[in-house]
Amino acid sequence: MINELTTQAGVLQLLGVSATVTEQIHKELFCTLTLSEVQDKEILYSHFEEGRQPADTLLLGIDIDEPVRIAQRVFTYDKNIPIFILTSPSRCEQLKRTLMFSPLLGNEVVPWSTEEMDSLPGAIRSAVERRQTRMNYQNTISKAHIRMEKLPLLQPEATHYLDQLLDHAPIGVLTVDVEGSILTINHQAISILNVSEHSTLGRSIEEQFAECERNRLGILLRQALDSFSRQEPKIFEIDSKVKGVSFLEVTVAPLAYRTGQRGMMIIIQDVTNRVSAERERQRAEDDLRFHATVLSSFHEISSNIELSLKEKLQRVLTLGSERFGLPIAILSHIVDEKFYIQDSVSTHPAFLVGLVKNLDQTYCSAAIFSNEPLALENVGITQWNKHPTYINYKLETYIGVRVMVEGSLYGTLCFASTEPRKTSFRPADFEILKLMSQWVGNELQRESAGAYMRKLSSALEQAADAVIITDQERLIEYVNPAFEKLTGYNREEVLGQKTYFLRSGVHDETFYDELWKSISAGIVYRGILINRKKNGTVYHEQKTITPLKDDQGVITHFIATGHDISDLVRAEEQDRQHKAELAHVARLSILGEMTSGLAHELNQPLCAITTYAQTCLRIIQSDNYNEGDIRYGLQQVVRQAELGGEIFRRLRNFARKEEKEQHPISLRDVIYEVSGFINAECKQNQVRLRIEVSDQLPLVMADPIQIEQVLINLVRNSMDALMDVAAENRSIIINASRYKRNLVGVRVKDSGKGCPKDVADRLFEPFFTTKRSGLGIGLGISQSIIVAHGGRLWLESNTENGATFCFTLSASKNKKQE
Amino acid sequence: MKKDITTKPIIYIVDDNPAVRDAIRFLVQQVGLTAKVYISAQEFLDQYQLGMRGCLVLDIRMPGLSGIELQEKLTLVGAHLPVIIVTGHGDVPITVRAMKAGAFEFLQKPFNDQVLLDTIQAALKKYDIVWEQDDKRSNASHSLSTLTRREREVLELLRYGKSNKIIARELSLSVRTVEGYRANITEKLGAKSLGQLIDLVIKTE
Repeated sequence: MINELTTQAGVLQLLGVSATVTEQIHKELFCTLTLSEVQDKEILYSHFEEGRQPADTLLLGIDIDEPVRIAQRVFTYDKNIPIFILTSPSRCEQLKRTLMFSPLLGNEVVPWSTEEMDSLPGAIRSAVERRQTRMNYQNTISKAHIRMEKLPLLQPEATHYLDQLLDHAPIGVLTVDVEGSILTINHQAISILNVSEHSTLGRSIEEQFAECERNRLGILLRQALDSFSRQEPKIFEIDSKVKGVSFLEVTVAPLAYRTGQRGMMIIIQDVTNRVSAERERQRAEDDLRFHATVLSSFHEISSNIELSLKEKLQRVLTLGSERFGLPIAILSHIVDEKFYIQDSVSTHPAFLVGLVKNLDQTYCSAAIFSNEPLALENVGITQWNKHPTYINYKLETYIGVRVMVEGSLYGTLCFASTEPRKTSFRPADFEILKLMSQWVGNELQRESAGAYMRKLSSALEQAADAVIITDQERLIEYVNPAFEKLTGYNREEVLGQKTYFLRSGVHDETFYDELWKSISAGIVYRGILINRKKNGTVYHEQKTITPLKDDQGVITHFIATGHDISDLVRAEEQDRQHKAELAHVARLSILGEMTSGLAHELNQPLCAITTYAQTCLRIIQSDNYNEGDIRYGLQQVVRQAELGGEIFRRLRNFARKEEKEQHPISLRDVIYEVSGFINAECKQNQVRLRIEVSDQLPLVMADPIQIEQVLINLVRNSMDALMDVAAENRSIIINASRYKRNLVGVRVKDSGKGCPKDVADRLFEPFFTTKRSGLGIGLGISQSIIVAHGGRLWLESNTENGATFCFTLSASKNKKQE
Repeated sequence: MKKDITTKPIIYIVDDNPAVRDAIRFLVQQVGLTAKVYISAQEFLDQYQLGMRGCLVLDIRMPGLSGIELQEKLTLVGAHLPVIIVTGHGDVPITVRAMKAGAFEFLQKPFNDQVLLDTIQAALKKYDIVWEQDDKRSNASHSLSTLTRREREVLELLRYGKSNKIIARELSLSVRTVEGYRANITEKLGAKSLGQLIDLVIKTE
């Protein structure tokens, strides 16, 4: 019995094969082959006769009688089945010879010696594969052939039906005899060939084709006939009066009728659309190839860093000239209606580099209004033949486009020839020209940007300010020579470093953290940094650090510029010291002037002490004294001694040289301190001193001694002004109150007769004084003290009822006073 | 009849410096004197009454009315009060001015307690005589005020050494009447003789 066969796995039929051999083959081939054992040769034959699917390979055992005969029989059923005949080694050669002369058998019948059993499975497998491949190729056609031959015999209706089907098929089908005469033709073929059935039947197929194609068709038909195989489809052109040029795809397949008569089936399809699309595609491909070559040439030129821009432009012009086949290539620069030939590739004497033309004398004047190229192919026969360029130079062909640099017209890139162009410019030409123009524009722009950058970088190099450029990680990318000169570090030493090496240690870590936080937030830093040079010298640097951002606003770099202001700082320091010394001198001078009053002031507690002490002595000398009295007296002594000490403290404080930092102070305290100072003098001059300090007065930022000095100066000036006034009318008011937002105003108001105009005008001049004794620096110094505190000192009012001086101080941001 | 000699003298202390003021008060009270303190010259002036007995211890430099001005004002009203100037300033012009205005003594601060006390005692002693005379004068003037208009007219003429007869003629009175008046006057004023009478009248002027 025959097992069920499958097409996927190959099938090996075994006839009379021993179990050992079967086992061996099965072991090696069970995954690719299905083994099918047949009991005897009759069953094998009936299998073929019943038209069942044949096995892929047949293996005949060694004990089979007349194996060649069986092979011959099988061959009549199926020529393509490989057959292996197992045989003893002694018989093998003889069998081979027999087969060689057997007329019906080919190579596919192989005698196999039992000596070579090991390689048998491999041979079977490759035979099966060969067979399957071949079957795949032939299957469809041969099956059709078989059926076509069988159908008319078995089912005539079906044949008719097939004819009907052919008539309505979308492809043209003709059958011809070996001579090429048309035997049948379906509707579609009639329509495609645009003929009538009547006029074509019996006529040669070749007549239906154009003269020039007939030969090619004949060859095709002959090939099909000779090889008795279906031919690859070929395209033919027919020229129909009605439809114009159209294209047919012709497939020729040979036919063999049961009668033994041969013929051919010709399948025709109208592929005009496909062909024209194909041609279109072909052209596009050519354009693309053209593009690609130009592009690669472009790339070669533009990426060649050894070339200067000038050389690159030259090469691009040459490239364009070659691609377009136009011998004249020009890059022009257009300025004020003039056409300067900046670069050219030309032997034409009118188009050499450096020549200048009027713009309206060139075709280019028409090309500069659009990004699209202007193309002229045969100027002589168009209206352009009146153009001055044509009249002057007989340029027949022109293609040109404008060149834009940074959005404005730079000039044109154009190619021309005195020869007319045979074919028109293609879109690809336009595209390439536009590309060239853009490239040229970009290059020119880059060149000018490059020149700008070179200028900038040379400015950086030569700048007097030290410049450091770091990346966003603060690693130094660049320093200029001024930096090297300032710090003493070489460029090579610092590149890739952070700027830590410049730190002097004056600023603490918090300072740098704050700085870094601020500039990382994109804020420009301006300030004075104290840095250290390579040789250890500390210097003050006026620094500006600017974060650089890209288009997205992300910081990419930091630029730090700065210069050494140590001299300035020193000078300022000296100036400050001079001022401080001057203020000190002025204070001493005031003290000198106030000596008398101060002595009196100090004399009072001294006097009281003396008197109390003497009295106490007197008491203890008496016989029966009251201890309470002594205690009282001594308490008073102590109090007065303390009072005297306070006066000394005040004096020493006022006379000291060094300054204190400004810090938040209470103006009330300062004013009362001043009044303690000035009281004796007021008393001496019979001046009433009144103090008015507003409640809720904020603290002010100041050096208290300096403010005392200013106040004493002002009060003493007022006192002087009061000497002309009757004693009972002499009064001075010191007033402190809010002046404006964040300012406190202090006024010193006297009840004098005011200050004469000419004096008032010169009040703040140094060394101007109306007093016999006095340096005349009091007000000047007072003013500079107040200015140094960020305030202002001025004569606020000046009438015959008295003068008022006013100065302001900034309120401290700290808590309010009281 | 008042007799103010028994009135205890008071030490008037005028100084704007509270410590000095109190120290002086402390001192003078320890020696059994009565003290009164004033913080300014003006305050003293406001409370001043003619006939105050005692001694003024005065600081010369004070705001407002100064010590020297107070002294001058007192002199002007004819106060019989010794003034001891105490000052921290030894400047000559003011000292001179004070002495001219009749200051009893001039002491510089700080002063010796004994010196101050001695000065005060000396001043009081010296002015005792003055005050005694003042008393007498004030008694006399008090007596004078008890005279009638006619008696005063008679006394006025007596003063110029006119005789009873002439007075009588001038006043168109009888000699007898004049004599009666004269007896009244003598009795009222307690004068024993014409000379004493005239002395008394002069004192009150």
